[in-house]
Amino acid sequence: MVYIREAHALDSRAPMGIGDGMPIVEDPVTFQERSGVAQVCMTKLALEPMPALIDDMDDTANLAYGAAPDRLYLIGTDGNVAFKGGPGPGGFDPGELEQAILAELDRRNEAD
Amino acid sequence: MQNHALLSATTLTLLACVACRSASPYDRASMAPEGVDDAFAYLVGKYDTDGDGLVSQAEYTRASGRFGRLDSDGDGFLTPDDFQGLQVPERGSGMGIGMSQRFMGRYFQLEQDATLSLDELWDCITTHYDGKGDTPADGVLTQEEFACTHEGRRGTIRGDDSPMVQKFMDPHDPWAVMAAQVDLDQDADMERDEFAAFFDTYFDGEPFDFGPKDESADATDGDDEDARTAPVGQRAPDFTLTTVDGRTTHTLSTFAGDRPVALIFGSYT
Repeated sequence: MVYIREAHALDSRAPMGIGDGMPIVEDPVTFQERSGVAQVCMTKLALEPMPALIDDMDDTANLAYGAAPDRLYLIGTDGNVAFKGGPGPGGFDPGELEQAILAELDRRNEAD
Repeated sequence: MQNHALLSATTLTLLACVACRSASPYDRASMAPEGVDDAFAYLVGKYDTDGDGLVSQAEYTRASGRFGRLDSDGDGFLTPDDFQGLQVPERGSGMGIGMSQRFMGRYFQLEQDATLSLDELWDCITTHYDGKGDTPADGVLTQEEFACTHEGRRGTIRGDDSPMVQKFMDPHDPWAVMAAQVDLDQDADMERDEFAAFFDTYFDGEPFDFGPKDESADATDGDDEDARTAPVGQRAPDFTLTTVDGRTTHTLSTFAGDRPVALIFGSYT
């Protein structure tokens, strides 16, 4: 997982966390704050078995991949983008990623 | 040696206990601590240094410019009144525009085809909303007219039953969300000219699509900025980022030649 800028921080232009049962999170302004929220996220959503990286406060990875608010990619063994999911939330489709992974593994096995 | 080790362990334990007692639950910065599920209570607990039960702009020591977003009534203080009900996405925000599109698609379609034009929207309003209840048919959509008919007009949008869409859409008031984007003169109703301005501003006056994207669309067509971002078949943009525990860094390109890498971008909210 690549943990990026909050999609719906309390003090954002599209806030959540007011009467809707969503987590109450102010938009982190330091790397330590973002990392702290990410740790809670990984624990609360039971994602801890998954390796997680924190995007820097310049949102480098987020911008490079057009990732906000959420998005799925697969990078092939050749280092190229093998699959690029649609922008979330509507385009966030784990089933598509699964198919892309299977296709990439088939391709790699055929190449070996 | 054993006595020294025991003393060191005891000292460390005591120091840890002192650290725990002195640490405020708000020391973990930007997130409400466990058990605090009220946004106003969280902000007061964190910023109300003079103990008056309110948060003034002077007390709000966070990033400048954000206070105004929280102070929804603009009185210069964060009070319970600022947090009554759900916050509506700000005018012009991506979330507000997107949610408005889906609400318009739900309630103002005549043809269930995941595309909505201004003409179709207004034809639906004049046919099924304007003049309903005890209101006059005057070419203006009022909240009363919307409320008395919209559930009966609720259309079907492919994908609207997904947990993700329900998470974002269902807790919000459709009238409030749309009005924030459309009701430019803030007179509590919506007119054709205001809907036209919405279409003109964000869709060049053209019909917009909503619901899941057409899977047959070629993402590399035209001037789509998103299509130019990390396109399929091109070298993946490289990055070096730190793990969540802060102990190590990883560079994406180091995995090339070894194994595929799935990237799942997201956040807690």
